[in-house]
Amino acid sequence: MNCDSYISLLSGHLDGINTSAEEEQLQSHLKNCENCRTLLSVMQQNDALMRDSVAEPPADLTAKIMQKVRNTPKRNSRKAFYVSLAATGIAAAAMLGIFISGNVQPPEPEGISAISETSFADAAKRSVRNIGVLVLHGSSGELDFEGEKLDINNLPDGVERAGYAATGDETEAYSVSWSEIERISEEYGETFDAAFYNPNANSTGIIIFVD
Amino acid sequence: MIVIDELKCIKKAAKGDASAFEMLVVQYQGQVYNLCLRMTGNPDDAADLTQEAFLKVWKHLESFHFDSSFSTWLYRLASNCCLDFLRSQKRRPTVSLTVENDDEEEQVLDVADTAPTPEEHAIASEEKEQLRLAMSQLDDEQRQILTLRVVNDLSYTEIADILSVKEGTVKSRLSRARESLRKKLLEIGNKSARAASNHQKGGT
Repeated sequence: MNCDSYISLLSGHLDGINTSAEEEQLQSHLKNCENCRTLLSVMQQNDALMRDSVAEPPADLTAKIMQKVRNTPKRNSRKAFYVSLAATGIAAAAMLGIFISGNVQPPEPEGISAISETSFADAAKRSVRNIGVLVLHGSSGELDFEGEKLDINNLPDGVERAGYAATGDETEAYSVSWSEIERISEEYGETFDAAFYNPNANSTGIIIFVD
Repeated sequence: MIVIDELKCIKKAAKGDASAFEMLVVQYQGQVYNLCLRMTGNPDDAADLTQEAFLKVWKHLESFHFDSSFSTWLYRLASNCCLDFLRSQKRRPTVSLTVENDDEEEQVLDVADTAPTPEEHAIASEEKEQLRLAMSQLDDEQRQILTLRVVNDLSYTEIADILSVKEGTVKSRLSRARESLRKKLLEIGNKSARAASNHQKGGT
């Protein structure tokens, strides 16, 4: 083994995760290799420097977080349907077309009222309830629905990929067909209360609250 | 450190108890802030992303089913916020002492020379600045894994959970990240030393 192949063992040594055999091999090498002893010393110093560089958060950070939290009442609701997608672009237009306006607007079930809102908080104030949240995690591409992970390569009937979101290269947006919304409604025996469009800094979503 | 009944706080907060949530914020904001700071290299961005991460936790706490520890879930969320931010910024250049050519090397020297602090303090500050610069030049994923391990002191198991990879992958990625950081620091150190030498020769 040349010195390059010991780098992994040096890193493992710093973290204390080497097996006893690996550690024995490393120590044996270190006895005869000044280069790797120096390398280990430098890696230790770099780790220490990183630990020493820990910064105190701003004094008002808690207050700022809690101000936002208190301005965002929890939706203590049973049914919500949220699809994250780009703030602008075709995906958003397609979603709006499906749910709120445009050429492909489906027939509205009895009792639905489509509204435009600017924030989750505003919608929450309407005291609607929800059943769960469909969340698109930006970087992992995972979809959660009611705590169950959805396989993005094997989406349930009615859930279709709509396009790419603007929040990151790997972030994808999905549209959900009207029949799927109806299926959810039927499954839970409830009717839609409201739908709204949520443009915020990083994403845009559509929430269908089911009453 | 104040020990809180985390489980109780999580359950209360999931039902909308902001005071219980505040205890979680106080408990974890330092770790989250430092994660964001190391990921972005910018204190203002770090503060904003810390707020964003906690707000997401607040909104989605009811979907946390204790499959992992709360801290693992929180760090995953926070580091994803950072990665999304960095991607959206397309790696916005940091306002730093980037040393890419001779002209910029002189900037390194100027700042180091004008620091009105005792020598030891200046050396420590310079080392930290070089670390910050070297970290900013790493891949996002390398910066993320180094921070989770060294700054946040998470185990390989926790990091594997956060990144959704195997522990063996954590080991190899950490090894590569440490080596990349060492090389970057070496480059920066050499450039700084060269700039200092040139500066003395120039007599300015």
